[in-house]
Amino acid sequence: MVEWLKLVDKARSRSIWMLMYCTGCGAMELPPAMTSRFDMERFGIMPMATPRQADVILVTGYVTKKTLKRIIYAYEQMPAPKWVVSHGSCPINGGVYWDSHATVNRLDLFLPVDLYVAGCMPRAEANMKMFTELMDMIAKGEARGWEEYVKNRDYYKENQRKLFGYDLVFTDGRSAL
Amino acid sequence: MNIYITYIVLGLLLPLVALLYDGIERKMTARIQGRVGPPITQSWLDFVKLLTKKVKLPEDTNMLMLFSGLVLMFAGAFIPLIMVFMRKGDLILLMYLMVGGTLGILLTGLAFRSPYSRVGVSREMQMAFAYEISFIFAIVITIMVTGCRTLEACSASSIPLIKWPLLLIPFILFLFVAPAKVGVVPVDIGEAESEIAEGPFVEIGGRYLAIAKLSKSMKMLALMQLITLLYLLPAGVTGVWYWIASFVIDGVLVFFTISVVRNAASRIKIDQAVKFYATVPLAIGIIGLVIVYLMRGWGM
Repeated sequence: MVEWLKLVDKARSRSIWMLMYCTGCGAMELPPAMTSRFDMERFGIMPMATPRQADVILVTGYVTKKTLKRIIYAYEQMPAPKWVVSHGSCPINGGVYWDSHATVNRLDLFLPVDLYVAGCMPRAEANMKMFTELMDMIAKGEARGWEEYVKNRDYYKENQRKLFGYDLVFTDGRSAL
Repeated sequence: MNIYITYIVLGLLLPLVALLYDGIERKMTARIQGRVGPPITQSWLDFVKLLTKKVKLPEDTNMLMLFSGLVLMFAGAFIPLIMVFMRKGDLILLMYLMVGGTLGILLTGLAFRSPYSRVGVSREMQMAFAYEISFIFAIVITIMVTGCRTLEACSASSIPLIKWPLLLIPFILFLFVAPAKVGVVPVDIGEAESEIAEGPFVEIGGRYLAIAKLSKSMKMLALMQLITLLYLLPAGVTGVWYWIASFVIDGVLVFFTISVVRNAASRIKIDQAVKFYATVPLAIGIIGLVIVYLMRGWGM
């Protein structure tokens, strides 16, 4: 059984499908990672069009109140196991937009972030490092963010309630936005 | 008894081979684009990953429609795959089964309320009306030229040499239909990832998506093997050589009809695709049918 689970973790680490939530300038840094120079498909990493088919949600760039709702909605639509990667300085501490009235400075208060990539913006080399790191974490079974989200649901929901002023209740499949 | 064991072994192995061909196709695409590309076992890894994911569906999913769609999609790829590799069965039945696979995609899409899925189903349906008729023409012309309906008798190697030029017509039709039937880039308008987010498959994930992906690769391999069997396999090839020749020719066909086509062209619009399929292949099909009919009249 343990061997079989190891095999599954190996398969999961070699086949990461990403939902790229490109909110800011991070979108510019991803085409080099996809095309012939860095070629992320050689690790089995592919962009996906819909949250239902994705394993990783990649939040690139600043997060505002408005986009955070969509990010949480997309995250809750994804089937487990799922991972969150925060890409760039903005989701870590606000980056250059730290004093704006509309930005959310810390993503990890609202979603269980598995991996941070610092930089403004992280270049393609940093992106490749991020992919290999994420693959290692998944293969070893270290990245367990989705279990944290279920376990500490009250904490995350409380933070979301404080930010938006009301409960974010998504009945699965219907938009509450 | 022996034949049942053969069927069971083939039924277990051929889906794996189909996934391997999908991986080979992805590798070839990557090499054409100057990339390293995923390992050829990538589709197996994807399949294992998708099977072990948790299932999450919208709460208002029509489960009956979803399951019947997935079953039709699977059957429309799996049974033709076994039929063409065993060289057993009827061409007309094969044609119905493969059209049924397309119907499965439509039913799967209609199980959800998502507008993307509805648009995808509508486009898929328009595409099906445009290309399935050429597929039917190709099968009918083949039956008329060879004069037989079963897969074991109906191949290029089993008819007189003088009739071979006539088989070029359905062969060309098959080459036109293959990318649309498999659903690759210039004509995968129903499942366009960047425009309508996978169309009919927008809401499915996990093991349902695994079945859909497996069906797609099995459909590709079955179609390639059908073309190989009907038009390209040399005469008198049996036993181990039949399998080796089949797999090699299938690989070459996948390269020319899928990889080259999807790298040479970008995705076209639905009206362009329908216009193309309703003019060029359809005209070839009608003219070919008339030619074959007249030739029969002259006693060929």
